[in-house]
Amino acid sequence: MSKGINVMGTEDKENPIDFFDTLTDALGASESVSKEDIVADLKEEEIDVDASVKRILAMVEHASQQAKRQQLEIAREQRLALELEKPTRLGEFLNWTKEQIIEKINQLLPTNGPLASVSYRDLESKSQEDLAALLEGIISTKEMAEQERDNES
Amino acid sequence: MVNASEEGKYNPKIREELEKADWKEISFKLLWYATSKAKMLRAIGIADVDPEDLIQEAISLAYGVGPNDTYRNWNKELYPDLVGFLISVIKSIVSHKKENREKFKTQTIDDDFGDKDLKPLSPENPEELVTKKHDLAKLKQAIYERVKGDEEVGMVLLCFEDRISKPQQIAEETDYDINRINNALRRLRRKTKDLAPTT
Repeated sequence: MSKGINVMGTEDKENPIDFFDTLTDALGASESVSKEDIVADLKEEEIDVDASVKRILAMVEHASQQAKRQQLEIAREQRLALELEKPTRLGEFLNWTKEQIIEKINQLLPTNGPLASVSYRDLESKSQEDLAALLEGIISTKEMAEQERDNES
Repeated sequence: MVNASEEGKYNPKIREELEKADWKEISFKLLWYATSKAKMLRAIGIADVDPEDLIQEAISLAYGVGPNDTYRNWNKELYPDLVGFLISVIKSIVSHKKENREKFKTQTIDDDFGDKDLKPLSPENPEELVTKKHDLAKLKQAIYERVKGDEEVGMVLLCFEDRISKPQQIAEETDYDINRINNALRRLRRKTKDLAPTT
């Protein structure tokens, strides 16, 4: 930038809108201006600052409530989706052999932790229906955990 | 603005920080910025917008509940503080409105197109656009005339020509102390006050 003052030297600049955009950004920049100065300035503009701030706080509250409702709605939809999947999946597992179900359960169970102590014999002693329900439960728990991880990231 | 159906998604973690923010302090700054922006938009004939409408839309977008599932994610590398982020959202709303206005000018009246909150100040044809550009140049010239003799404000305006708007950057560019820049901005604000009525 040339540092000489050339108050009339503006003809060569292309778009005057860019100039006004920059000007308003600068006039509204608050990083090094005190709150008192901001309030005084707004009052000079004949703005009822207290009333405006009150309305802005209400906007924040409204957006916050809307966001919470949205979050609840998403959680509800996810729960419903899982519920809807259940019968189909359970029905599918009931067509598997006991060995197939046990093999799948063993694949899904963590190698350490409380569930790791479930032995082949424990599983063998269960009915096919119980095993299918157990497999369904393990898969649903895993899906929910993954869903939570996704939401957090 | 980003639509939920587009790539990526809203990060709800932002909400935790929004909930903890000191909104009263933030409100003053947002009001100040939005008032300045709205006033100038009116002065240069782009649009008649209410500063509080700009703030409301920015807050909704930040919370991920903008109109038609739109949202804005907070990039903390670009905007470390919340005020800076919200101001960037207001800027993008304004530029979106300007784009819509450009499109609006090329649509027929029957088209359901354009921003319904945007009230064009006047219908425009090519001749009027030329006139407007001329008017803007005149308005800009008038600002230069008003600050004639005020060396610091003159330097600040030259920074604007180079699209430098942050007071700290202006201070670095001009080698002036930041307080001198802030005082110059205050004088400029006063001198340009009557350019457009407050909306």
